[in-house]
Amino acid sequence: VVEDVPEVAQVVAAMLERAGAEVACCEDPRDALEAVREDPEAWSLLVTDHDMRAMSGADLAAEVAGAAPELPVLLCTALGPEQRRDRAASALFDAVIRKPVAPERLIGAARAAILRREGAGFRE
Amino acid sequence: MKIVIADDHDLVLDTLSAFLAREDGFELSRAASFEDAARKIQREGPFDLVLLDYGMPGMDGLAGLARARALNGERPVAIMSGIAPRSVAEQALAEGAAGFLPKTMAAKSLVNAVRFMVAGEQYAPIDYLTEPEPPGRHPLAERLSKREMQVLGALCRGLANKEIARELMLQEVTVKLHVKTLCRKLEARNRTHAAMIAKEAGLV
Repeated sequence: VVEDVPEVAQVVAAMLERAGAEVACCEDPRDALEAVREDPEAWSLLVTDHDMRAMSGADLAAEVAGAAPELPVLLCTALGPEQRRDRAASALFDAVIRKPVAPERLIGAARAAILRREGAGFRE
Repeated sequence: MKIVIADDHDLVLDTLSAFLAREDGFELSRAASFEDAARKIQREGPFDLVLLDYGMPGMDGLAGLARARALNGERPVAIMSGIAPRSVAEQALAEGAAGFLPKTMAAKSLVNAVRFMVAGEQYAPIDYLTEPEPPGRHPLAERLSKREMQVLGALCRGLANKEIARELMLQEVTVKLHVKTLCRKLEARNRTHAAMIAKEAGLV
């Protein structure tokens, strides 16, 4: 979970943990990117905020796509599509979740994204 | 005025030396650990002021203060720290430190404090000592998540990532990332430094 507001990160992490996930939170997107680059196979899902100081969620997703093309990425954002500067980047996300994050929406999107990517893996 | 500054961070030594070197009449020696400082005091002492970093290797909390005072005769010995809680500052002053210097001090205040202590006065930063401290948890602990605190506790016991992963029933990669993020929050260079900061701040 990449989110520079620690309180929000903890809430999102708690939702995912309740659904059985093992979660690490990064306030700095660069830490997440480094972790994915170090062990691209080890992660099942990246959930990122959009507006962050060091790097936008879209930039992070683009970098992650290079390092771990199979890793599904969810975007959590308070901004609507018309407000996000890089709308074209939406293709980088498996789903966009509006803040405040509803647990069932987050978990549903997370499960769907993970299953879809795993399914794609099986077909290859 | 002969002054020895002991700190395991070169950056701190460089900064303090630079501040004090601009002033007339200061003759500075540097030490990178408590033992290094103790040797200098024995060979070149007594110094007009000994400045000890609270968290450097060999300090052993405030035990180093008592040892340095014994070695330096009746001359002043002061403690400096970036993150020690207020209770440590109060205790240091109560145990006869010539002063307590927060590393956040402005250069000018630092120079004044040093002159003050060399003159035999006790320097206590009023702002630092009277600033309200949140009750209960340490401010650094406030910034760490529950998981990061657990991992930090294990780091302080000298456990490797694999062992921490087993103990907390997590994947090793997750532990590795927790270590990375907690080091960033504590502004630690590595896991050993993080454990040192945690011990110094009384987090674990």
